[in-house]
Amino acid sequence: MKTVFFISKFLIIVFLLSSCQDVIDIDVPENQASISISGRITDSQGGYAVVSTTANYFTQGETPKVENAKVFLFEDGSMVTEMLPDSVPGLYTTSFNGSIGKEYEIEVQVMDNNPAFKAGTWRSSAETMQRIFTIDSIRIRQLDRNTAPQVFEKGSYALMYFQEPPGQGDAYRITRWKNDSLFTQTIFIFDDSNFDGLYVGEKGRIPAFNFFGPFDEDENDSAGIEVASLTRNYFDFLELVGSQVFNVGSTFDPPPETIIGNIYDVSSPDEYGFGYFGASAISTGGVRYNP
Amino acid sequence: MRKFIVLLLLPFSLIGQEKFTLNGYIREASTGEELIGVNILVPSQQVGTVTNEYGYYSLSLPAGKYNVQYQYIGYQTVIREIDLSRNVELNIELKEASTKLDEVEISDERIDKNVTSVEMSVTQLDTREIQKVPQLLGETDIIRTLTLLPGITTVGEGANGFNVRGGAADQNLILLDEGPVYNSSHLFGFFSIFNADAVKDVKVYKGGIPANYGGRLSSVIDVRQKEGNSKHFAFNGGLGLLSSRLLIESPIVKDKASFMVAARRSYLDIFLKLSSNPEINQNTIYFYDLNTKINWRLGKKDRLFLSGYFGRDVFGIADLFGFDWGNTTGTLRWNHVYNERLFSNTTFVYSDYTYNLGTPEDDAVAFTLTSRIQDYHLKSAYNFYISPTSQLDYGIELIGYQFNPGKVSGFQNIELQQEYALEPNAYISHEKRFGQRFTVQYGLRYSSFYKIGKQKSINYTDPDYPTTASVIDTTYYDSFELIKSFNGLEGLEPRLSVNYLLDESTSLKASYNRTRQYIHLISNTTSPTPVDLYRSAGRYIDPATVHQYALGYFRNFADNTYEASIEVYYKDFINLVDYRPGANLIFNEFIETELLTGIGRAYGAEFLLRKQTGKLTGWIGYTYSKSERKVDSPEQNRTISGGDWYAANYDKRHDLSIVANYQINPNWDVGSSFVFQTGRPITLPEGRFQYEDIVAPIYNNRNNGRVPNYHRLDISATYTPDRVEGKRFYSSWNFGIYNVYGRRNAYSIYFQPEANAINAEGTQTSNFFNTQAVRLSIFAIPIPFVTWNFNF
Repeated sequence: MKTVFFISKFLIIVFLLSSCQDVIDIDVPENQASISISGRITDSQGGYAVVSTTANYFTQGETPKVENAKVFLFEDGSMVTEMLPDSVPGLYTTSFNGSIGKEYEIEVQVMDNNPAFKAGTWRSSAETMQRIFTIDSIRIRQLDRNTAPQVFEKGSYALMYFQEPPGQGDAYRITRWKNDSLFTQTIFIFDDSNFDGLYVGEKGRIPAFNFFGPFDEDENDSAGIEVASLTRNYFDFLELVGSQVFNVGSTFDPPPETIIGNIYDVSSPDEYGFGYFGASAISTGGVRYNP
Repeated sequence: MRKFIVLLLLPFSLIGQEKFTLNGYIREASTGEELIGVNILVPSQQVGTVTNEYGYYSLSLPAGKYNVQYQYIGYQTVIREIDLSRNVELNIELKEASTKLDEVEISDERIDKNVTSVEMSVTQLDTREIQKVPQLLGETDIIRTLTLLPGITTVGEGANGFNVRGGAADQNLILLDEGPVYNSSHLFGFFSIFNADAVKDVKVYKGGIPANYGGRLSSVIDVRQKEGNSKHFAFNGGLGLLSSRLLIESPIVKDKASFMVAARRSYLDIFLKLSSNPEINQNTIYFYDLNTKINWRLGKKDRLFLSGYFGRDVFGIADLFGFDWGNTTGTLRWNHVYNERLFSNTTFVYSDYTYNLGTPEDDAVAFTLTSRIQDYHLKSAYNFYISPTSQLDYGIELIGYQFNPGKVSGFQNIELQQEYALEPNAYISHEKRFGQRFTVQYGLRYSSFYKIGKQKSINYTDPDYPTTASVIDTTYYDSFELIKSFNGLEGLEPRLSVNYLLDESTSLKASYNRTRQYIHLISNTTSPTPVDLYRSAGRYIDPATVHQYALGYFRNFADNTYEASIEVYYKDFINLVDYRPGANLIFNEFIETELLTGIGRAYGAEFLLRKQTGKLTGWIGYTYSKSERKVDSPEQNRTISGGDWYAANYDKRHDLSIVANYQINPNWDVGSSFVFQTGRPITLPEGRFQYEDIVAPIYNNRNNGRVPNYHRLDISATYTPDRVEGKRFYSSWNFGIYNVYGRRNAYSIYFQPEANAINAEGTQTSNFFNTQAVRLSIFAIPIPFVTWNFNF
């Protein structure tokens, strides 16, 4: 991923003098609307699902939500709870917490009275909730180019220290907050292929995980982090979404690809919906900067 | 082995006694450079031949007196009366036709090779011709000029590599003095690596590929470097906007040994430093290349050549991150004339393509990623001139490959394992003319491939569809232990070309070739990037094959002043490697789990009208073509575009090029080129879905739309002041404009949330649910250029 980033950066320099980017009008094909589900079940913060429909690519604003669906959560094949509609249209929630090692699916029943697309039952394929590490500590450190070459700006950064569990195959997603406002519009994922079983933050070996910074030196800001465990499938899905949405605009773009998640039509399993319902165990932490 | 050598030399004993042979080398008079493809004609016998890649020719005729003509475009024809009462060795020097306007007609020779030669789908370009074509930033560019010919295209400006007759960029065998070049581009594809000053001859085979070439499916670009002036010391060079170059050549021992050294360096980085923006002025960006060659004539029968190419692109973002890549090739060649009719060439080639990226070494957490492919070739090739109407070519070759897909060193050390392979092959080809009208060249190449240890190879439950989830275990192979071989009958590569002369200026030609490719460039971008790497056929990747059929009608007009041709072709590809959706190809130990295999087809018609002599020179080329791929499987997730045919990234229906150069007077030349092409395929979103707060595109079918049509006009003028009598130094000015009317040609159109444009760090904006289409144009404004060229 980094390579692609740097190549894009070089290209920006190369093109600077002569290239141009114009927003243009272009006709795009349009297919019959289909279902899209995004959501997850966690081990400590309950679960949610947002049910919406697909739309023409140039439809502006949020995609239409499906408000009168029935949403059920399954654990190891048995229904454990119904996720109930929230006041936010299309959002269904539960306070049920899952357990590491168990399999989760949701089933979404869409009734006849939904005009956007045909009635039917949609289901997510089973996701096993993966293990998560405990965050050892979160500290604020002064960093500059000499101490951490990837730090472009000198300042105070929030660093996370943790023991990555031995055994390759773990994958994680990071979500971050500044004060209580969530950084949306980013997909920040990584796997343990390069540091399996290591203590991240061990001096002289592997630097601590830098997740926020530099802090504004005059503000009393806080930085929060959530680490969620992912299955390989969930990881691949998020990686694909990230590359298709955010990594565009250069001559070395990854080519457009169909983003298939884990949602399918129960009556004809070859017919897939969009989005993903995942299961994640989570660890959270935070730190406040004192100027 | 000894038996084999005896076999190779067998034609020795076949030499007839009744005839005598005229043989020798043909050289350029002022520099002593051997000339390739010179026509040698004996009108009274209606026979002839051409010089080979080393300027050697041989003609066997019954005893007698003959008028022999030596013709080469742009050179004065030499006619010699030869008394062939014994074998005659005759080296000829051809003088360049004077560039003075009133003398141009003298060089206007009746050369009808276009019609009479059995070769089809072949273009030979002279660097002097290339230099007349207007070029981006005035940089004489061989590859860019090739793309102005029918059947050769690029994905767009800034695309690495090029595409020949619907083939992918990795299907071109690019040879620089016989050494394969893996990446032919500088600056991510804006310029090619060939310094035109150092190049003597460029020959392109789009089809009818002779049996002596193999290893790539779609084309051969055979580039020969200059040997070095064997007459006197000389230099030439140029100062341009992008780069400067200098070539020095000189005899070491007059008429016996000479050398050539050419260097070129770009200085875009100097311009960056002029910027006041620290985001720009702290960066490094340049390329350089060095071409060298030494040759030594060891008597009449032997000649040695040692040549090398070293090129590199270097980029750096301040002192944070560096990135460089480049090719190195080295060639040692030995030409030996066994007798008047048997010429041989034995070559050893080393070729290397490496890229590095990483942080400076003194960083606390420094890292470097290095990736490399190296290969070694040993080959021996023979031309046996049986008679003026019959020539036999044969040879053997052994290639050894070493792949280093990736090695990270620094704060952590990881290495993808090295891979090794051997590719032995042999060929034989016979060209025979029957009567005055019919010529046939038929040949057979046999190639095989052995993937060998040392390697740790992963086993999967379904070897036909490896996934990371289906890894069973690994098998260890020792050094040189065979992992997988491809040595069956499928390694047979028949080649056939026929020419039927309808009359002295018209011919019909047909050709068929089967070619096979054992190494694949694994890339998932629209055009390859410098970080893409070749991987070899093996347990999970099969060699690719193509059958190509071509038919052509060739006609010359107005006493061979105009050459015209129409060719149609059809190509049938098998085992093309494609990537799976969302494939991660960089530094991936399980590369086979990211790939799919498919088939392809390409067909088209090419029209070319070319004029190489007179005041007005140039060509009009038009191609109608289609190139498609198909990846089908009973299982949905193993297909692309639902298993239907989809357009290849480089599929362009119409491609028109008009290139013209007009010599107004001895001092002024003007040139222009115009290009029109159908826009390249892109994938349009067929909808959107929302995942969390991210609006993602829905893509169903690959390449279901196109960018707008591409067209561009370039112009140039060259001013050559009168040469001062008695002075060897002269210079010229070349200036012009690229993209005269500033057409904003789309390189790509991409689709993104509006917030992408202003929001890199993820802070929420009000419009991130809105989406837009953005056209990316490169060189979207008229770009002027000026270059000063000098010669001594």
